Amino acid sequence: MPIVKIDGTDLYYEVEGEGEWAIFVHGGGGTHLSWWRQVYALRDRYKCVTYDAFGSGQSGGTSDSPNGERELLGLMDHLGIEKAFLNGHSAGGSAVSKVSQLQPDRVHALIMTCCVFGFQTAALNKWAAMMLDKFSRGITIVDRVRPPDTEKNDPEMHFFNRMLGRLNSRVRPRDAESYTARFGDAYRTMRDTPPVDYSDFKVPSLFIVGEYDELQVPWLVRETADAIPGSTIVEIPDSGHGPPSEKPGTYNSVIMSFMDHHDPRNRT
Amino acid sequence: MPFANVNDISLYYEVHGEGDWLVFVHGGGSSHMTWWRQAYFFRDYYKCLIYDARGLGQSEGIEHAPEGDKDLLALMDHLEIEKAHLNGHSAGGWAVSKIAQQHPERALSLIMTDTPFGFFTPELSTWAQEMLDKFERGFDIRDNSVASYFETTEPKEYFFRGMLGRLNAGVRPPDPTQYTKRFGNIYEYMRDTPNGDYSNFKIPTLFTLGEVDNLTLPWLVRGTAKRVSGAKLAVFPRAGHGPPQEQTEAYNAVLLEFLQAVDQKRREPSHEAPKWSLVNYYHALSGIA
Repeated sequence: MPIVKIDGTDLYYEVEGEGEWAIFVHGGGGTHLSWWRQVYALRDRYKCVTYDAFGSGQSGGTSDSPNGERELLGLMDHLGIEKAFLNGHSAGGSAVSKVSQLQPDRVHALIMTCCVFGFQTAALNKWAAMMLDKFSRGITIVDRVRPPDTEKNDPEMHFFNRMLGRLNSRVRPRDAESYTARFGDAYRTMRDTPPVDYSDFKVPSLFIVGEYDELQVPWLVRETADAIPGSTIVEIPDSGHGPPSEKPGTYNSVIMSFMDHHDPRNRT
Repeated sequence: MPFANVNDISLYYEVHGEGDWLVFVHGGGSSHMTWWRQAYFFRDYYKCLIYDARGLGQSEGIEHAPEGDKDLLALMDHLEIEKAHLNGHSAGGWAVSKIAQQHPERALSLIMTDTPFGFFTPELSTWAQEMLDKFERGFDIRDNSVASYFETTEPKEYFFRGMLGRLNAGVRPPDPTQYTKRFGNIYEYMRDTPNGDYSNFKIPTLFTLGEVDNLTLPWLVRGTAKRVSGAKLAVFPRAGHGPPQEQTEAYNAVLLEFLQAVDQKRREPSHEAPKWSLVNYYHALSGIA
C-alpha cells in the first residue's frame, strides 16, 4: 500500500475508482478510513483519494502544528493531480479551504463538511473564544461529537464508528487539560486573527452542517457561508458532527448532487 | 388484519404511528410493502396509512391506477380521515394528485414520488406516445425500475426489493406484449387528454425524481414540476425510478423536512423553510429552480 514522503515525512494514502479526482481529508482523531462509505459510493464516478494526515493512522509526524495544506498539495503534486474536488471534514477543512484559497485553479469545487476552518471570519473569532472558555471549564471535544441517540438507532454502526475512532488511541489527548495545552494556540489564533474579505473567492463551495453539531455549531457554519460569495449551505437533519458516518445515505446523496453539478464532464 | 370494504371490493391496509395522517400509495405491480421503510421511519411523526391498491397484494379487483383516487377517497372516508398528507409513487401518483386537485380540502400536502400522473401536460402527452412506441419494441417496465448503481452499492436491499416485487407474480402480465394490450389504453388516454392549467395550484407540493429514472423520465418529471405552481423538486443522484428504496435515508430526510415545514406553515403562515433545508438544497440543484 502506497506511502509517499511529503516534506520528509511518511504519508499513507489510497486511490480508488475512476473519473475526476476527489480528495477527502479526515478530521482530528480520524484516519483515511473515516471516509470508507463515501469512497465505496463515489468510486463509480470519481477517482477518490483518502489519506492519513500527519500524526494519524499509518502516517508519520504529529498534528500539533497543522499545516494540512502542505500535505495535501504535496500529495496532489506527487499524484500529478491538476484539479480535484476537495472535501474536508472538521479539522480537515483547514487543508482544503487553504488550498482553495492558495491555488483556486486546482479545485473543481470545495466541500466543507462540518467545518469552517481556514476561513477567518468574525464568526470564527466569536466561536474560538467560546471554545477556549469551554476548555477552561473542562469540557472536552471527544465527548461531544455524536448525537445522543446514534447508539440507540444504529448500534452496529455506532460500535464500528467507535472502533474507527480508537485507531489513533496513542496520539490523541483525551482530557480537557491536555487538549488545551496542545490545541490552545490554534484556538487563540482563530480568536485573535482579524476577519478576511472573501468577496473575490471564486471556488464553488458547499458547507454542510449537522443539525445537532455541538462543535462546528450551525450558527458558525451559517455565518461563515454568508461571508463566502456563491456558497451553498445545507443542514443534515438528525445528525451531529459526523454526517459521513452518522447519516451516510443522506450525506452521500447531498455531496454527489453537488459534485455532479460542478463536474466538468457534465458541462457540454 | 384490517380489510376495508370500499367500492364493492375489499382493500387490505395497515396503519402505523400517531399524529396527522400521512398516506402512501404504491406504484403499478407493487404493494403496501414497497413503503415498509417509510412506515418504519415516519410512524414516529405521523399516522401512516399504507394499503394494497385494487388488484394487487391482498386487495381484490382489477388493477387500474388512473381511477385510484376513487378507492383512496373511499378508504379515507372509511377510516374517517378528513385531511392527510398524500404521497404517491409512480402509478400511485394518479390517486393522490387527482384528490389534491378535485378535493383540495382533503390534502394537507402532495408528494409526487417519481410520478407526473394526474397532471396533464405537453410533456406527458409526448412521453405517453414514446412509451407506446417503446412497448412495440419490447420495452419491459420491470427491467427499468431501479438504477444499476443500487444493485452495486446495496446488493442486499436490491435482492430484497426483487422478492417484494414478486409478491404480485400471479396478477401481472408476464410479458411486455401483454403489458401493451392491458395498459396501452392508459397511455393513449394520457397522450390524448388536453393539457391542464396548474399555475394556480394551491396544495404544497414536492416532486422527487431519480436522476437516472428510466420510466418516468427526468425531462417529464422536471417539465411537470415546473408547471405546478410553487412545487419543489428533489433530484436524487444515481437513483432510478425508486428513490424511497434506492436512497431511503436521503428520501426520508427530505420528505420529513418538507412535511414538517408544511405543518409549521399551517400553524404559522409566515413560516418559510430556511435556505439550508434539504428541500431547498435539492430544489436549487434540480434544474428547474
